[in-house]
Amino acid sequence: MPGSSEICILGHKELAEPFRAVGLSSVLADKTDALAKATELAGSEYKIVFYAEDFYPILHDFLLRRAGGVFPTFVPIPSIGEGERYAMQRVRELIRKAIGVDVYLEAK
Amino acid sequence: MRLAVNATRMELLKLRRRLAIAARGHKLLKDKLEELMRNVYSLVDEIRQMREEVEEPLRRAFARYALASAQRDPRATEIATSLPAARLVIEAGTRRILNVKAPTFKPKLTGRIRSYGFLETSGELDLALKALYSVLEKMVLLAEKEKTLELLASEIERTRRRVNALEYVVIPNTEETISFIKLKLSEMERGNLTRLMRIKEIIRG
Repeated sequence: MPGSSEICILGHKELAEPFRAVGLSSVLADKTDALAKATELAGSEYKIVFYAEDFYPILHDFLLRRAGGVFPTFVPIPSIGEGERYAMQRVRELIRKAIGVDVYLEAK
Repeated sequence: MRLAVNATRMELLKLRRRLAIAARGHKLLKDKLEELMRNVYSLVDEIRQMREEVEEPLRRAFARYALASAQRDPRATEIATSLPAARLVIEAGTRRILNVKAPTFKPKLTGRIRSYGFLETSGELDLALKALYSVLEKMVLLAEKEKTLELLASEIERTRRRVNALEYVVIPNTEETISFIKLKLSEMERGNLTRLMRIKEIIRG
């Protein structure tokens, strides 16, 4: 059975493989070609693209440029290991942009 | 800064109308800004809770999957996961929040997780996939909330810029120009009156 035509995982092999096993499509990428693959996915029919959070610094400008678009929705997911927790940082950045203060941190 | 317009009654009327519209627009935009902020506040709590509920199980699932690959032949694990019987279907749509187009997703999971033999795979693989399967729907809902937050944040930034432009540039400049035209017109009126009085005096005598 082919993977989901609506959700895609953009990440390393170790991240993409488990998701493929539960029926999601996957696009393998590393830090060198993540931007090119993300640009390709932005023009696809996918509704959601989950990307490995360690790609966030690479994709940051690209994601800012297409912030107004609705589909596909790019969302970071945690990578293997502890990492930098870019997914959380991104949410906090958005809150700071909207409200002016980091209420996320205050609430914690 | 005063606007570059002629000091005439016509311009004065035009500017008064423009000022009324600007003041009304400013009030409406301020109300919109408050409502957008209220929406963001309610989203923040939901996102924080969902992120916590999604991230921890995902990290655990990845660790288990790595263990499963290490315990048995990684190639066998890869083959086992290449033909999934499970499928996640989403019903995607959009809704409008204060004229901001935001996505909506309704996830639906079908099929079963295990579509492989137990002989060549580790028990850790079952646990990893089970953990992933349990958070899939929540991940989709999290995507909806985070995208909505992103769109609302952009709209707030835009609206705030408009409110500030009206409050600190358009309204003060228009008020200053109106006051200048009023002074200029009174000055002209006084000049006319004096001229008429002088002419009257000359005619009399």
